[in-house]
Amino acid sequence: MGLKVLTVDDSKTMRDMVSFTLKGAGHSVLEASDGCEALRVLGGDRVDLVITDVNMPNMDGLTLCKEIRSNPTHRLTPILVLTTESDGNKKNEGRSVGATGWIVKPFNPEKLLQVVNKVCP
Amino acid sequence: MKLEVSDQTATIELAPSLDIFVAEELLALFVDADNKSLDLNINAGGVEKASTACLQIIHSAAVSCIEADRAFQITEASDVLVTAFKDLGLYSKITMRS
Amino acid sequence: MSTNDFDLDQFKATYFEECAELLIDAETRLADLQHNPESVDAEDLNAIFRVVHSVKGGAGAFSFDQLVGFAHIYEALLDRMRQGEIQITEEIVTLLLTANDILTNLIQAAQNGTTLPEESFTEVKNKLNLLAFDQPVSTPAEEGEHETITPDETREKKYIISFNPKPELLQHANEPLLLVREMKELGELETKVNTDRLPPIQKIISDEAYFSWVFELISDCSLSDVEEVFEFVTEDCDLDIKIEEEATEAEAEAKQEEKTKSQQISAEPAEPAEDSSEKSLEATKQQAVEAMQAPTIPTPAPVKPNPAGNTQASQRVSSIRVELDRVDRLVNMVGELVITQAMLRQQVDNLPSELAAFMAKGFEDLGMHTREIQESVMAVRMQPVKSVFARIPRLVRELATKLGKKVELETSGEHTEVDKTVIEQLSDPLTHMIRNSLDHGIEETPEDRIKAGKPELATVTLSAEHRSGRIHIIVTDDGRGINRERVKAKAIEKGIIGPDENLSDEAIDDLIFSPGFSTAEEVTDVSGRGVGMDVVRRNISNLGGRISVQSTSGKGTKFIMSLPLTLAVLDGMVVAVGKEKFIISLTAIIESLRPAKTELHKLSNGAEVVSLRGEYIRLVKLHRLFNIPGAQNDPSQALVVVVEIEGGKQVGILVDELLGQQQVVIKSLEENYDPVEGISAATILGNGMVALILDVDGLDAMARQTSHKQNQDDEKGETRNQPNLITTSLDTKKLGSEEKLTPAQPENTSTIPADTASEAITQKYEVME
Repeated sequence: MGLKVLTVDDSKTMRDMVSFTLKGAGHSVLEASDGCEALRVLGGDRVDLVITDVNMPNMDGLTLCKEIRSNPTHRLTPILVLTTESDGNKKNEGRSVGATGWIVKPFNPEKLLQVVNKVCP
Repeated sequence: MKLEVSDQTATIELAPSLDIFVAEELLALFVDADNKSLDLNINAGGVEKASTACLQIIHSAAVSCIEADRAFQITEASDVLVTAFKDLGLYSKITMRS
Repeated sequence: MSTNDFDLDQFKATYFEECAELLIDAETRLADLQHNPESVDAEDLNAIFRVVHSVKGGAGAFSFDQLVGFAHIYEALLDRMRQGEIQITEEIVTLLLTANDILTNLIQAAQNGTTLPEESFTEVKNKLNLLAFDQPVSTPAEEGEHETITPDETREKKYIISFNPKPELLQHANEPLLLVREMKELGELETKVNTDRLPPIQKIISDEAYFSWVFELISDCSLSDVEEVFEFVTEDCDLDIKIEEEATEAEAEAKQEEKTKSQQISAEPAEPAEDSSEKSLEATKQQAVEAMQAPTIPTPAPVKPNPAGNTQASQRVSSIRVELDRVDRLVNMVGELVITQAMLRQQVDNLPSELAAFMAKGFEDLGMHTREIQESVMAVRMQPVKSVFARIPRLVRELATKLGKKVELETSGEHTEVDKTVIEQLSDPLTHMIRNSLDHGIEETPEDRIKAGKPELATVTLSAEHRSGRIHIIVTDDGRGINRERVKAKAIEKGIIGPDENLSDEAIDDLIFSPGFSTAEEVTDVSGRGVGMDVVRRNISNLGGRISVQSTSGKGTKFIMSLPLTLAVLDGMVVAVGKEKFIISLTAIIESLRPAKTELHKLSNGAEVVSLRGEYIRLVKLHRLFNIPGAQNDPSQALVVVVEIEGGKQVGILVDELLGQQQVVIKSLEENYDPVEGISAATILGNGMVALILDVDGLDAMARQTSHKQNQDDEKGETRNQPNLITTSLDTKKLGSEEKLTPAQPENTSTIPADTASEAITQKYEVME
C-alpha cells in the first residue's frame, strides 16, 4: 500500500522530481512551497512522511520541523530534510529540531526511495 | 480499540495499524484494565502494522499483569505482530496464541 | 521498484524556467544592495542565498558539474554574509554582481548543453573562495563528503552492535523495527533485548524509547554499511559497533550451516506461532519475572513537547502560482465570450421592438459584466515591468565596462504593470534603447564630460509610467545629445533625404529611425548585432507602439516608447470602406472630419493632402491600397480619420463611414497568415466577419510608396499591381473562432473581378481640387 507523502520545497523542479519519483513507486504526494503552506496542507489529516527542503521563504524547513513536532496531530510523523549541505552542520540542526533523517542533494530518485523506505514502515 | 470486560477479564481487540499514533490510546486501555485489576486477553488477529512504541506498551502490560498475578495472553497473533516481537527480541518473553 | 527508466531530462525545462525567475529575483535584490548597502535587509541576503541554493540543488540533479561547483562557492560566501561573518562593502557587492553574472552565464551554458571555459571565471572563483573559505583555491575533493572507505574484502564478519536509544528516539519518528529490518537485509541477525528500563504500565510514556539491544550481525558487508543503518539515529542513541572477524574456516563453515538452518526455520512462517502456543503460561511468566529482576526502573524524564501554541495557519499566503497556459486559455475563452456577446447583441436589433427593448437592457448588463470579466482576466496576466528592468543594471554595467564609460543607472516605475504579452516583447527594444544611450548618447570618455562641465559619472534613467491607457517607457541620458549636423549629413549621404531638404530639428532627430540609417561601418561591438533603430521602431510599431526621440544638444537624449497595456485586446473604431470593415486603434485617432473641397490639395509628387488648421495632412486611401471596390473616393463626400503616427506626425485615413467604437480581441495574423503590410492583426466582429486592424504607420509607408509609384504609373498609364487582399476571404476558423460564426456574406468572399480593378483606376483619375 502506498504512503501519503508531503513534499515541501520552494523549487518547483525539486517538488516535481520528488513527486514524480514517489508517484512512480505507488505513493501519493501532496506538495507545498514553504513551511507555512505545508502546515496548511497538513491541516488535521496525518501523512505518512514529510520531505522538506531547509531553505525556503516564509517558513524554513527547520522551523517546519519544530512546528510539526509540537503539533498534537502530526508530532510523530517522520520528517526527512532535503539538504545540499554535505557537512554535518545542517544534519545536526535537523536532528536538534526533531527531523527523522535527511536526504543529501543532488537529487537521486533511487536514493530517495531508499531513504523513504528506511523511515517508513 | 476498546476494553470489553466480562468476568474479571478484559478483552482488547488490537487495531490493524498498531503504529506509534495509537500508542497513547493503547496505553490508556491497559492502564484502565490495570486500575480495575483485570486479566487481559489480547486479540491480535488483525494487526497489519506494528511499532516499537506499541510493543513496549504491550510488553509492559504483560509484565505488570504477571507481576500482579493476573492472566495475560495474546491470541491469534498475526504474522506481522509475531515478526515484530521477534525482531525486537521480545518473542521469547511472551506467550502468544495464534 | 526500478528507477532505471527514470529520466530526469523531463524536469530540465521547469528547472531552467525556474532559474530564470530566480535570477531575476537575485538581480533585483543585488541592485537594491548596490544602491543602498547601508540598509541591507537580512531577508535580501537570505533570498539571494536561497536562489543560489536552489540553482545548485537542481544543477546537482542534472549533473551540471561546472554550475554546481561555482554555485557552491558563491553560496558559501552568501552564507557567511547572512551569518554576519562578512561585512558588506562596495567591493563585495561588485563581486556578488559579477558572481551573479557568471552564474547566469553558466546556467545559459548548461541550457545550451555546453560549459564555459574554466579560465573565464577562475579569477572570480578564487576571490569568492578566499572570502568564503579563507582559502584561494578550492580543490573539489575538499567540498564533498567522503566516506571513509574501509579496505573491504567480502569476508564474513560478525558485527556486535550495542544500540541504546535515548528516550526521544521514537518522538523523532525513528523506528527500531525498521533498523532491524535493514540489518536483516545485510545478513544473519540475532537480537538480544534488554527491557530493564521498561516501567510498569502505570508509569510508561507512550512515545518514549525504553528498550536497548545488542545485535549480532553476521554479514560480508562493510562497516560503513552497518553504520549507514544507524545513520539517522546516531544522535538519539548510544551506539557501539565492534567487529569480530570469523577466525577459522571451520567456524565459518559452522556458521554457514547455522545460517542454512535458520533460513529453513524462517521459511516456515506458520511454525513459530504454532510453537508458541505450546509454551505454557507458567514458563512465560517465569521468564518475564526473570527479565524484570533488575528492580531499579528509571523514571523517565518528563520532557514533553509543548502541545499547544502551534502557529499553524497564522500566516497567509496572498498569492498563488498559476500556470500561464491556464491563464491564456481563460483569456482566449473570454475573448470568445466577448465576440459571442457582440454577435448576440446584433441579433437583438432584429427582434420585434417590445422584445428588443427588454433584451437590450439585459445585453447592456451582460456587456458590462463581460467587460468586467475581461478586465479581471487581463489583470491576472498583468505583471510589473520589474522583471524586464531587472536585467538592465547588468547590461549597463557590462556596457559601461566595455566602453570605458562611467555610468549610473537610475530606474523608477518598475512596479508599473503591463500584460505579459507586452512584457515578453519589451526586452529587446529596451535593450536596444539602453545600448544606444550608452554607446552614442554618453560622451566618449569621462574626460569629455568634465570638459563639458558635467559630472564624470553619467546618468541613464529608465522609467515606466501609465499614461492614458498606455505604458510609457522612457530612457534618458545626460550625454551630448544628437549631433544634428552629422545626422543630416549622413542621411543625405545615404540618400534618405535630399541634399536641399529643410528639416526641423525634430525631423532630423527622427532620421535615426530611418531604414538604412545605421550602417555596418558604425556597428560597434556594443550597439552592433546589425540591428538599427529602424528595426526597433518597426518592432515597436508592430506591437501597436510608438517610439520617439527628443534631444537637446549637449544636454542629453530622451527616448520615449509608448506601448499598449495589452496585446490581447484593443479599443478600436470600426470603420467601413466599401463593404469591408477595418479597425483603427482608438489611441491613434485624433479626430475625424469631412473636409471641404477647398481643403483638398494634390502635391506635385502625387500625394493627396488635406489642409487642416494650416497644416497639410497626407491622405491614405484604403480602398486604393487594398483594392476595395465601391468605396467613396472623394474625400469631401467621405470621412477622414486623422491618426497620429510615429514621431507625432499625422495622416488622414479615408473611410466611408465610422461604425462605432468596439473593444476587439486581437487575433495575430502572423500565427495564421503571413504578415500583411499595413495590417497589424485581425479580429472577428459581432456578425462573425473578420475585420483587419490597421497598422497606421505601415499604411503611411505604403501610401508614400504608392503615391510615388502612382505618379509614374499615371504617366505610363499602366495598371498598378496592388496587393489583392480581401479581408473576408480569411477563414474565420483559422483565427481561432468556432463554427458559431455566421458565414461571411457571399459577395465579400469573391475575389475582385478585373473590371472592378479598372474601376478603381478610373476613380483614380478624378480631379481633386
